[in-house]
Amino acid sequence: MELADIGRISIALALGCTVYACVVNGMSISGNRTLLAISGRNGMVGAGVMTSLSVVVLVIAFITHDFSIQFVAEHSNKAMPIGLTIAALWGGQAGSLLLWAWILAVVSPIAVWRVRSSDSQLATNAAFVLTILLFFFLAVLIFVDSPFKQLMSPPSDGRGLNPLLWDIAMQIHPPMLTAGYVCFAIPFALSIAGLMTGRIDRDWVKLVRGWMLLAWALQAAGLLLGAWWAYRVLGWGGYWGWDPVENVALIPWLLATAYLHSAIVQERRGMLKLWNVSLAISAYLLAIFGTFIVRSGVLTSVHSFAVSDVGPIFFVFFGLLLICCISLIIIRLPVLRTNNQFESATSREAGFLINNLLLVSVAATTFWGTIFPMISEVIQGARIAVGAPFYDQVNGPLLLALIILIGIGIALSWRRTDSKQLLIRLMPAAAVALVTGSLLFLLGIRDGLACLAVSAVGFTAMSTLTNFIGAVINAKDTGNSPGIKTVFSVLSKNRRRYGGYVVHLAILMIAIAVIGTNMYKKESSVTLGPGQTTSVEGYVLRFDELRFSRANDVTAVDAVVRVVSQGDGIEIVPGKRVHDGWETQPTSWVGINTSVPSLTDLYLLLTGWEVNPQLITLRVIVNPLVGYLWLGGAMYFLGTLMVSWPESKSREP
Amino acid sequence: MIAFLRRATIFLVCFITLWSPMSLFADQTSGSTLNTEQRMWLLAEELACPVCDGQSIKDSNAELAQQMRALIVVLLDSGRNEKEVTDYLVLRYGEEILLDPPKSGFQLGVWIGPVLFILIGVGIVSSKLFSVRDSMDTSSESGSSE
Repeated sequence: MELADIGRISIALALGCTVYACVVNGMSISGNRTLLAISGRNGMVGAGVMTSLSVVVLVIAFITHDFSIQFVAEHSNKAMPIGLTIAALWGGQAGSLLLWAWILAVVSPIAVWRVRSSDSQLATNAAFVLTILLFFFLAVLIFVDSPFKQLMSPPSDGRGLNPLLWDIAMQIHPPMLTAGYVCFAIPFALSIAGLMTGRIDRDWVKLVRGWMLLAWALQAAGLLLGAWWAYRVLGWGGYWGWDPVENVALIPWLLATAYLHSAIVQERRGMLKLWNVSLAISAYLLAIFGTFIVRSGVLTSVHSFAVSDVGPIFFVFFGLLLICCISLIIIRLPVLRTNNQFESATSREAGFLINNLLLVSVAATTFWGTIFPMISEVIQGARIAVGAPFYDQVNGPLLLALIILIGIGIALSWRRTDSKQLLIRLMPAAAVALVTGSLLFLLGIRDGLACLAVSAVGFTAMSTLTNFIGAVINAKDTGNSPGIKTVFSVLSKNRRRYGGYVVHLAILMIAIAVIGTNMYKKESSVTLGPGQTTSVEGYVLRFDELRFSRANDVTAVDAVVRVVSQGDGIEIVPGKRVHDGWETQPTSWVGINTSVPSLTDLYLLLTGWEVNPQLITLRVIVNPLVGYLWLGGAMYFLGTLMVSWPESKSREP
Repeated sequence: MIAFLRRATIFLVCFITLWSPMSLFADQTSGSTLNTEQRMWLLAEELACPVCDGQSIKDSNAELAQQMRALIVVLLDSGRNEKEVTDYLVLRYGEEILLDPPKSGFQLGVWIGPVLFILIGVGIVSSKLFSVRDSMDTSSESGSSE
């Protein structure tokens, strides 16, 4: 028996287990029989095991270079290093679908098992929904696009991986993003399950919140790694281009962010049930829709390296899910009625409501801009582009408002805030904003928008700090020992809240990077001979020599450039790489030099060269403050870790 | 009633303040003190490279993008303004190269969408926040709480 057969059989068995689990769980729901529910859960575990086996088989096929399997032959070759060979698993469509199914198959039983202890009925319903989702992916893997398809005459060596994917970020980014997409399935399943049982209560919100937090963090990791990859590999000096593929990954993240905030309102006040259910459901539906867009080729994008015929199937799946969800929500509307109402427009819950308005507006704008070219093609038959200028103009102000709102929201109390008190609380923040704005103006920054945006960041940072300092002072007043110990005790007593603050500060850092790169990015193009120096964008550059080399089927050309304006000269080596078999797709080897502490990048790209006499053309890009994006990204995960660290049982969450 | 009006005004003022930066964006592109290359890069940002999957000709290093950038420099040097250059390129490569959709014709739809959405959202949110609580003093405000 060949590897491919084992792989196919294990997927088929996984599908069998899934169908069994689905049927048994369904019967258990209608008959409310516990034994059946247990058997259904075991079926899910079986599906998880069998899917894992098929992944192992594919990995073995990659490592042993089994080129009789088409997917292996198309995405790897013998010369590739081992890490990359394994990462080639998600270098193509069938493999990334397998990855998707595998994560879903493994996460689902864990989720069901964890939910079971608090609400067994909910767990059974969720298991039913999850098995339907898993069934879809396994069926696609068997009937439409199998990673185990065999070749009649296996080639002696494989085609190799797309050179653009030869990067460390590409070994982590796709699994992260896939895991994020997949984990949105759990809140989705719990929402449907909750609608079925009719209990959308505080416990439900807490359960969903945990899984939403996980999906949200994974999605953010995927997005940030993707940005990092684009920045270093695609060679256009940017990290985010409002590209359709990026957009569809951002939308679920935005909705999850909205949910994480509005869920707090439901936990505290029992409001917004209908809204929260809709958010959890939409996040997953849009993840599916995103996959449809990426895979179907209806939109062109720099990221959609895997285009095929599974698009329409995803679209049908998406449509069916959408219809089911809407009908279920309409049927269950009475359950979603709220018993409380908003008491004041200056309350914490009102702040969350406006936060949701802004986040969902950004998501809706992004969605609209992404699908508009399709609408245009259908209605007027002409392809049009909706690019970064559109998103900058519409989403820019919304995101700015959101940043200011973070600062105001933190100062609001639940139910009702006395407006005088609110003003007093926000006084220090307003002062900082004013000082920041005028300081920037004095420093010669005449761009009103830049001043406003940075002031907004200062405002919110100060508001966050004041709030935290206030909590520390309060703790001291109630008899705690002063000093650093109090700070830590305040932090650990309400990890969820202050973890959120850390995430907010991380977002502010990212905002600083976005402001810097969006408004003050400079670029130009220079041509240099050996030994020539040029002054460009505040740097003095000298071109030393061109180096040619060849190793591991890769031909490389590197230009040695020195920044002579900074001390003894830092060497930057931008270059180009041509991989054998991919001659039409040379990849850029970007030269980056980050100056500390402004974290401003000098970004060099070799766009052309001549050998005799030596002459190079460089694209010189200065990206101010871009390093804060990566720093903010790291801080984001620190905050997320704080938020999700398990609280000890005795404490109020 | 007065309390409501005051809050509504604050809300409105905040909103307008936050949206006014849009006009700042519009001003930036028409700089006359810039040199030709700088003007070219600003223009290049708004034009898609026809062969490279939605990247702008500023970001793309494809041959066609480089040619288009060179063409823009030539056209600008010959005394044409930004609009004339854009029109020329649209004539040559089609409307699909406009990354910044014109606020007219069919493309106006892409701009109206978010405005409509935000207006609806603001309507729902303000009805939630204002009508119920102020039911005694806002008889003029009609909004359902659902």
